[in-house]
Amino acid sequence: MLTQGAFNHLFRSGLRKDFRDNWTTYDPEFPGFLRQGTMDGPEIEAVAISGMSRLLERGDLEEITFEDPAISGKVVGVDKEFALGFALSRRTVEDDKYKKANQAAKWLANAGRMTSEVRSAALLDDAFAGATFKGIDGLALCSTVHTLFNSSATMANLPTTVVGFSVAGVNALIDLHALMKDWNGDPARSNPDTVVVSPKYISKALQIFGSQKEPFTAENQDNAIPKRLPGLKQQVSRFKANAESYFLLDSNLNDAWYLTRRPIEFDDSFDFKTDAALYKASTRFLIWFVDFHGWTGANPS
Amino acid sequence: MGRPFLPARFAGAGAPENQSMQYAVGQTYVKGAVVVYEGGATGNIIEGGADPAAIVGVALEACDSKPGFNMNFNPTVVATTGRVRETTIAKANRLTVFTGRIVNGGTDPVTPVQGDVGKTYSILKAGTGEWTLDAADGANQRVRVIDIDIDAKIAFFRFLEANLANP
Repeated sequence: MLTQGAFNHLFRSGLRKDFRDNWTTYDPEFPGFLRQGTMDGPEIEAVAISGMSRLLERGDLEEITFEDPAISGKVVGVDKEFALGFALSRRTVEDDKYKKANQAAKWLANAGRMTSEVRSAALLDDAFAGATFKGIDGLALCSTVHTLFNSSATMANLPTTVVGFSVAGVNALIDLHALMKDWNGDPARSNPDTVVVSPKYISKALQIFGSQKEPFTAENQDNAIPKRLPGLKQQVSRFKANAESYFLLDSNLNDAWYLTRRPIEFDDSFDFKTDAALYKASTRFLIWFVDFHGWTGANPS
Repeated sequence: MGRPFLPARFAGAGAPENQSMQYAVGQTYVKGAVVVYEGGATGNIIEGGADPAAIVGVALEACDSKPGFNMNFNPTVVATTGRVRETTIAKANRLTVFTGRIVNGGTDPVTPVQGDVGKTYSILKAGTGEWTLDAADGANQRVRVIDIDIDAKIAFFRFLEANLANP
């Protein structure tokens, strides 16, 4: 509750007009790595299905062998609600010479947007542990041993030996995309079109994905990465806590989502007894992923 | 199933003081259960045992009842994102008035009488899981009746201050 004394500097003249409270923000980052949609219930469920992978050899006059397609286990997502309120006394508003004490809409809107970013980046930070976000095989988004429900094979989208963000590191991820398998364990095409990096690697990403010659080497050999990944989109994630992790993703296969249950709503009122002005913002959304295909990532220490 | 404990009057507020609280794994309590803190300073709540001493409040919903639990074809659920192991608890405090029925041995419910107002009662978990005021136990008082409704056979009560986990 903001009362007179808490913001009393604003009640007297003499302050300059600049309160250093305006910022130029970055464009929303999470749409760069999360697909967006809506959900119309408190829960959303998903399964995957897969057809048969092989025809069987048949002898002369031999009966046809019948086989079933396969269906995966189920993944469930439940949205969360986020809300915040802000209250200030009527006297505070009346005595504020600079009209600065009450910027509830601006502050709450910013808090809402930051919440979306931070909660989205949490998926990236949990991509290797799977403490909060688990996919259809019960594992984290990035794993060396993803199971395929219609095959005894496994698939990796995390290199066995992880190296820092570099030509070798990116090549390792590209190679994993090339080795991607469908649920039957057969090759599946995955063309990464986005790289997600921390701000500290913006310049390095430009060198790795933009140089015609391989950067950071003396041999001056051709840089194969921009040839394999032409037009790659570079998405900076300033909200993930892990500054060293990096990801490649195929936006066509991407199955990580930001699902809105209720768009952010603002409301205001005042308290009849106290005259306090009341403001609130609330929203419901779910961040989850189902299928790990289309993602590769590395988590160097 | 009989009438469980429910918050009824909130001292002018629009809702009882409440908190969404995490419960210990393995709990099976139902709506209206009296909950206490789990031992070992885990911060979790559990259903109270016999004559609970430090009462946190009354559960407004059963365990594992929020979205994401008890899904169709539950054994096939591989992972659940976003569900919380919490129930909303109407906190036991000096203000919130709860309602409940009185039992006396095999008499369930007991029709309250005017003389019950002001009396203190023990509380008891019935066989079906809901909690009741226990007229058969002359000791271990945990609540004080402040009003009754004879037709509905319910008593209005507050938990005794000495038995509040967060007085």
